Amino acid sequence: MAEVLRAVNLQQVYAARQGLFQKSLSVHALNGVSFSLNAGETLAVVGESGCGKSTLARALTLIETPSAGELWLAGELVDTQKKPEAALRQRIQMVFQNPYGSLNPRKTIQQMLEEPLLLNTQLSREQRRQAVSTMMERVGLRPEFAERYPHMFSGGQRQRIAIARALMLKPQVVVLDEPVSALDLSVRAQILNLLTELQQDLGLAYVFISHDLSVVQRIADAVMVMYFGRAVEYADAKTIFSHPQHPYTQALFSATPVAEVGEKRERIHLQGEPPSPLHPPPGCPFGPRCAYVQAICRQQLPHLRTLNQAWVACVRAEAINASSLPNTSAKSLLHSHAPP
Amino acid sequence: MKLFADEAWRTTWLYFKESKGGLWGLSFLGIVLFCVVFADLIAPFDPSLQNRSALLLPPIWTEAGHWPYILGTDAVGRDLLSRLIYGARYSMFIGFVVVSLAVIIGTLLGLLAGYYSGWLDTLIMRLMDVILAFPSLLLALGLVAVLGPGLLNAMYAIALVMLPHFVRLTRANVLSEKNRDYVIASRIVGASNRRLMFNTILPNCMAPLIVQATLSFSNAILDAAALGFLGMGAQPPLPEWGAMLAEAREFISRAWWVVTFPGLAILLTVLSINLVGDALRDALDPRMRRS
Repeated sequence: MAEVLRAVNLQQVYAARQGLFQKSLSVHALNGVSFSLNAGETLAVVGESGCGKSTLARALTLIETPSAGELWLAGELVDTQKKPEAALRQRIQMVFQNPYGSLNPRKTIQQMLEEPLLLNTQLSREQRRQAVSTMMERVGLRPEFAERYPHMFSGGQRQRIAIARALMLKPQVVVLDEPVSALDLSVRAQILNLLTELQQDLGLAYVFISHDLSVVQRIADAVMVMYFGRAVEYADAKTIFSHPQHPYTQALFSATPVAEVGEKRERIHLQGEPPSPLHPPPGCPFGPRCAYVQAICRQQLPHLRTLNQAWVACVRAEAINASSLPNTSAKSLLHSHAPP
Repeated sequence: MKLFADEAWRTTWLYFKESKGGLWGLSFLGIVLFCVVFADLIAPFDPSLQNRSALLLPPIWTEAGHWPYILGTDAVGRDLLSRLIYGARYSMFIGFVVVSLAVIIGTLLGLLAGYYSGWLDTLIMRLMDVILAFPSLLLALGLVAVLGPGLLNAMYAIALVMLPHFVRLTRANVLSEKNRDYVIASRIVGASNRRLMFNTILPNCMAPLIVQATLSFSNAILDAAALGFLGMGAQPPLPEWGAMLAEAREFISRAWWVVTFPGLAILLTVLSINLVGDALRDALDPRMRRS
């Protein structure tokens, strides 16, 4: 399928002021992230809090202009330093995590959903009303609700409204920033179904940011695991879930609860905290917490390289794989990666 | 750009009606506004007409009071009721002009300062700090001394003194609202800075502003009275309520009515405005409405 979004070495650097007379330090919130996304596919971005997932979302939607790197939308290079123009905005839209904060409490659903059309198209008032009511039906809301205010809706309905707003301009790419993590379990399933349905019907490409691996496993075609502003592993979903290769990915996956009574599995407990972005450690940023760390890890920064159909940023991946392979072969996906 | 469509006005009224206090306040304000408009027709006397034979006459329901001085007369024999009716004009005028000036300019400055942080924010806020650093009445007094005494200059001075409160209130609200997701969502679909400021953020900052505006209304009337008392505001014989109060101060122990009625007029007007402001804030906020 056609590629709709490609990021090349995206970087986002913030200046952190230390004090009045001290030199300000730079924080690399996003440190060279690259990926490519085809129409109708979902790229899941996973990682713990503070790993740069949301910064990536903000860079992709150009809420914040990335400090460096290239962004290609449907084969066109986006000028990230310029204010995005209408044509570009129509192609990439976003759904936020918290449906209670992402809807303007002072506007009716109608006003909110027609805002994108009002600002970017020449549709008449009647046409806009028509478009809004079609879209509301599309996301499973009754069009009569258009004149209501957000506070009259439940969390799940609000998230449907937020999805509807993102789709009003018929985008090609939708960035979903933890779209279901604020919802309870039953509603979560409904929203995920809606997203899958919309994707199939409209050929949307999703960048799905999440920390919930069970959700990711269900929806993702490709997975990018981020740590400390970098991708540490990037592969298609099947490969990464059946055979995670980076020690961080393994630890992350082992932390996902499995709904099986009596199921005992070995959990990899990570020591310590992610390093301070103000003072990054030498070499591999995961080194200080890694069970397999050796002298070489502190000397060089690992870059993504291909290994067994995946991209892995670990210099010792082969050695680690070799030592854990006997365990991984037969068992089911999620609990296959305990070290011996 | 239309601020409200007709539909929105009707809904607002629908919810405004729910508040009893708001309705009471609105009725009293209606009476005051009626006095403002038809003062020439309903006032029994000219407000500055003196009657030497009726000095400090008490109200009509006391033993010494007599017709036609319903609320009595003041120290130079002017009819108190007529003066109150005409005074409504000045007090409402002062309140409206001062508060409108302070709200419009203050909100605008606060919005700019909060939205474009950086040097503009620093500039505006430090200017406001300078204004706040002076005792408010003293600053107003100084300004009037420079501009020349008179009601209009007093009003400009009071508006300037009130400005920082509105600027700070607006800025604080804008700062807390501008990074909310709904603002970012609007930005993603292409809203301009102006649209974000006035259409997206400002309506969500209005509630405390409406309350502050109604509270300032009373302050404006009182400050204008204080300036009048010091000879810098309304000049005699203008029947401005605050000035009447100030003029009557020396008779407070022997003629209660000359201070009571102007004071009551100020109190009731201010109370009504506050009640209306409260009800209006609730009616304008969709979250307070019953679904």
